[in-house]
Amino acid sequence: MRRRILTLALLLLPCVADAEEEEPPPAPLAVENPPPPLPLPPPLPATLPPPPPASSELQLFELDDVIQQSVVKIAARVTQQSVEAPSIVTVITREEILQSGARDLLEILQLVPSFQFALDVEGIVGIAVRGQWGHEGKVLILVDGQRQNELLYSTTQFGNHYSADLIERIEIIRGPGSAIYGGFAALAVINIVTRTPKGLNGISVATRIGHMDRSFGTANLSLAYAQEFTTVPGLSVDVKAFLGQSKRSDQDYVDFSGNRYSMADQSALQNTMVSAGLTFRDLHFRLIWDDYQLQQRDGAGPVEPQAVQQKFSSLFLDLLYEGKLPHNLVLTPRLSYSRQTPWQITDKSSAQYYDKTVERVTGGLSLLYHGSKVQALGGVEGYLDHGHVNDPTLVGFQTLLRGKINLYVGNVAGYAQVIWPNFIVTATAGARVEWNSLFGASFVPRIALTRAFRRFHAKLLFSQAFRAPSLENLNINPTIVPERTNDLEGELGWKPNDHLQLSANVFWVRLDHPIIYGFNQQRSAEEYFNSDSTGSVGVEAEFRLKYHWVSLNLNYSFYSAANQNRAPVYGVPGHDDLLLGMAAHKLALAASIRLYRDHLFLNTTGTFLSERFTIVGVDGSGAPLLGSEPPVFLWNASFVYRNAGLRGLDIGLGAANLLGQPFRFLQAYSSDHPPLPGAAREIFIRLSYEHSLN
Amino acid sequence: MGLILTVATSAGCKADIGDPCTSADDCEPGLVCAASAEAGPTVCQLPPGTADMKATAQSDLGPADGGL
Repeated sequence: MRRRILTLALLLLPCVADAEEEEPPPAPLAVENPPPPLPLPPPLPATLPPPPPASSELQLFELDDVIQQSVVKIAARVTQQSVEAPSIVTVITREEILQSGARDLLEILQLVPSFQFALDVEGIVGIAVRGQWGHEGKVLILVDGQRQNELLYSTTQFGNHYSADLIERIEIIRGPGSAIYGGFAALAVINIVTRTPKGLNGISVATRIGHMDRSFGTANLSLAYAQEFTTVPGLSVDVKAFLGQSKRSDQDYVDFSGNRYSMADQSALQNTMVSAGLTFRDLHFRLIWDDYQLQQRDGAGPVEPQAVQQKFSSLFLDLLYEGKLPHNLVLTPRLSYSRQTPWQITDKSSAQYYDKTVERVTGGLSLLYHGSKVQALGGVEGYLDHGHVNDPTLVGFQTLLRGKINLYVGNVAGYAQVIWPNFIVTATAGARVEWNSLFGASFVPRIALTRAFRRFHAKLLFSQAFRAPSLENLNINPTIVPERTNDLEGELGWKPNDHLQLSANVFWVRLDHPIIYGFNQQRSAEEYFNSDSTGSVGVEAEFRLKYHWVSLNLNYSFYSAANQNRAPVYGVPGHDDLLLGMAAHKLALAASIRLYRDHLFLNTTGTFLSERFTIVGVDGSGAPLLGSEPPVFLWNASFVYRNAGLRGLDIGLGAANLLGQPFRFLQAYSSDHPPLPGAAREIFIRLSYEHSLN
Repeated sequence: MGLILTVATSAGCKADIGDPCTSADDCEPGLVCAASAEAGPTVCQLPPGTADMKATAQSDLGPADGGL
């Protein structure tokens, strides 16, 4: 009975962040292997066990030679088989992260279908999904359950940010999640779970040192401690820290006037991050401190007179309690606080000076019912945002917030969801209603039909998303209106045996009145506006293979914006099927080959991007000139020797961008910013040590 | 600052631009307390010579920009 109550409690966690910390013990092997053909749909997904934990990185590679059936929580905030989850889901395990040799979240997500990266301004690289520029508030990123999008412009920043060494697991929705996650979840939701007490239960140290062709590349250090205390049942703690220094590139940046600077010594990326959690029985507390800084001279495009230090700092505090009630009910109150100072440049002599802080206080209450026939989830959530101008010296990009030092926006939401497995399909229906103090009410529904049978699965999904403008959206353009996303998806999957898995899906996504950022070079000012609509259609396909000596993950994705995009700033003149900065075709490969017993591995990843278009200059009248970047193949490879004389000690030697391809990040909208060079070839070594306290 | 500022501001501890004041100490840091142009009551203001010129009005955006 206690096991059942514990399982139910886990279902109510708003995200998977701490889920693994208290989930039931690993299931028998027979459950982890694919079940035999079933005449009826499998039992309620909430009763499924989690994947087995591994107490060391070595054990990850000893565990199995079959493809595990993924269990996810991201799609509906309840534990489900991924094949039945009401979303197109990708799960990236720690084993896969280690095998990829990835340094950070950017390098991990480059291997996910339809995920690409492009340039914003001021040296910032952001994310795109299915051809759509999702950088500004269209992709929700969570770390240990805490929203990472900053609340002034709604962006997230990539490049030696979110260290791969600290990640236990990533769950991704490719598609909207707004019906249960609210704003930002229009195109995708990415939930990153850092090392957990159950997964680590010990200490780990990892360092990575790299050198690019022309300069120092990377010097990263990750530390993690996480433990479940057997002497005090229900108590667990975790503390993780990351210190990182790297370069965006060692190439030259060149603006449209021919001015240039070397990024080898003027594109530093620095990150300090701490995540600490405490769980005692049903009470969970989390603190995250994140300080991300970069050095840049590209500004809005023209080379700036000197490099500036730009800072994004964030503090997150989160407290939740799972209250178990009779009749299979779990009531969870939650209180969160965040404080962020994004895009901060404190040098008042810089044309990019900007110094504002934003806070959010969130309170929520959710109720879960887990019955024998149906699961239901409902809740209310309210937040208050407070933007603050830290210094009213209005130079550079510094402005007031709607004519004031302080700006407040409130939001209240209610959501409900029902999952009904029956003999035909598992039906999921949900909706979220929001009331915003500035924009009034909104309603977004989702409907999903999924079915797993024998070794096949199928999904048919429809969902909407809604996002109210952020504080700076509203500040820069007081007439801006919310955007709404419509999404239709279908997926088929087949697992012919324990070692092979194939899946393919099609999608159609349309954003009505998308909120679009632009930089007006003539006025040297930021702009926001709503366009009519934008969108894309496409296909994504994945093939996975896993044997004792080799594992392989190959995926392909394609989008077309033909007849879908009506936002001129995103379009490519003469190529109405393409969007600026985005490759129509993407192929990603991740493979690991066991070369010598359980010790020596060859890990390799590769990403192919087809031709991409961007603005490459302006003519005499100032009109933009279109150009293209040729197809590019980014190939990474590394040798890893595990348990090198000491159990838990791993040594790796590898190269990123082994072919030295001249990859450049292209601006995803037409604002006349030249391409920003990406990392050149980098030779690196990685040392890690993990010690279990079992 | 941060949460404390939120609570303090909500309680009226620091006056924003346009709010009544009796001295600069009543105002948010960086603001001055001065009489309005019409010689009315003193309110918190930006220091003389400062203007917020960067915000973009929607009317500045034409169809070519993709504006509605």
